Amino acid sequence: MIRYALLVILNAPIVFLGLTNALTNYKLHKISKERFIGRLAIWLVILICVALAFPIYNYLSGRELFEIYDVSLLNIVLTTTVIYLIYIINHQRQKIELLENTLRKFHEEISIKLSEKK
Amino acid sequence: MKKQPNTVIIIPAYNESIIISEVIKTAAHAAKAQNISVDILVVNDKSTDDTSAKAQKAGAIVIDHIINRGVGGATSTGLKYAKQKNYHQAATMDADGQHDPQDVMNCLKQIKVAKADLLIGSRLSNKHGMSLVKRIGNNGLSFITWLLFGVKVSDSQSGLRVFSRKAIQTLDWQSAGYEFCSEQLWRAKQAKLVVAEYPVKAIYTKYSKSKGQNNWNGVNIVKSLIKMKIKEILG
Repeated sequence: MIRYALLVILNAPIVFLGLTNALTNYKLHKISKERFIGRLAIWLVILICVALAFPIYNYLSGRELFEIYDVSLLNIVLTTTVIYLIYIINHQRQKIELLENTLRKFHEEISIKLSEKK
Repeated sequence: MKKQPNTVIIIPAYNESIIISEVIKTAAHAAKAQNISVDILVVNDKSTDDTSAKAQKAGAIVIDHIINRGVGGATSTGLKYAKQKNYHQAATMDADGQHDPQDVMNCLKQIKVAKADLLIGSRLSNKHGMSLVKRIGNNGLSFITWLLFGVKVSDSQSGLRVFSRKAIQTLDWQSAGYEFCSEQLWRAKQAKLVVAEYPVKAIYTKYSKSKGQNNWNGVNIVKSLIKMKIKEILG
């Protein structure tokens, strides 16, 4: 049981960070409502899965296709890494998108300005 | 000082030196015949030929892109110019001579009649001259646009579009390629703009056929649109 608690303790802050980012970006009008709902759904699903890891493992361990054993420390590290990577990827993709948008606007602006100077 | 017209016709162009002068002159002539005062703006998307010089010589305002961005990017620059110069109306038409300037003028009038913010010149209401493959492709892309973005139009890929002042001020999109046609409709829906259609004819010459979209490009457009939708949902 202590290992499941560890899984939650390690992952909950990442999930809350993801949720906070989504909410902040939405409130600052950086993302649309549709996008906010999508991101909220992803992080909530992750949060539910982490929180319910113990019953989920119990349920799956008896199934033929899964053959899951009790959660190991390695499982905890791997799960935490995956969730952290989801956070990082999302964060970086957002930054790239912002940069692309800035560059696009800059190019448009500079093309117009230069053409006017001709 | 000469008063600026209320309307601008935006022509995104890439390596169109063969035909650009004729397109500009026929558009200007059609506008004059209809007593519509227009500016013609050519957004030269870093052509490697003398499209820019020829457009300037034909009397158009020319914006030269520093880098090649694609038709969506060039149209976006044109609309940004229209926004900065406070035009009341803007129209976009292809540089390959595919559109009849008379249709552009009709659409400019029709947008007011329809009380629309974005008017699409639909080539699919009059399919004459359009090959079966192109017809299937255009219908397919319109269907996908409806499926993904919930915007129902008969010709989602038409380059002949007219924008109201409200649309000029509010519309913004990110796609630089041909997929911008569908994205623009999606953004219009998100901005609660009124979208309408008006039948136009497409002039398919050997030249315009050679310059139009490749059928395989349709596959790329579908891929980009799906990616766009997933990106929007997943954040």
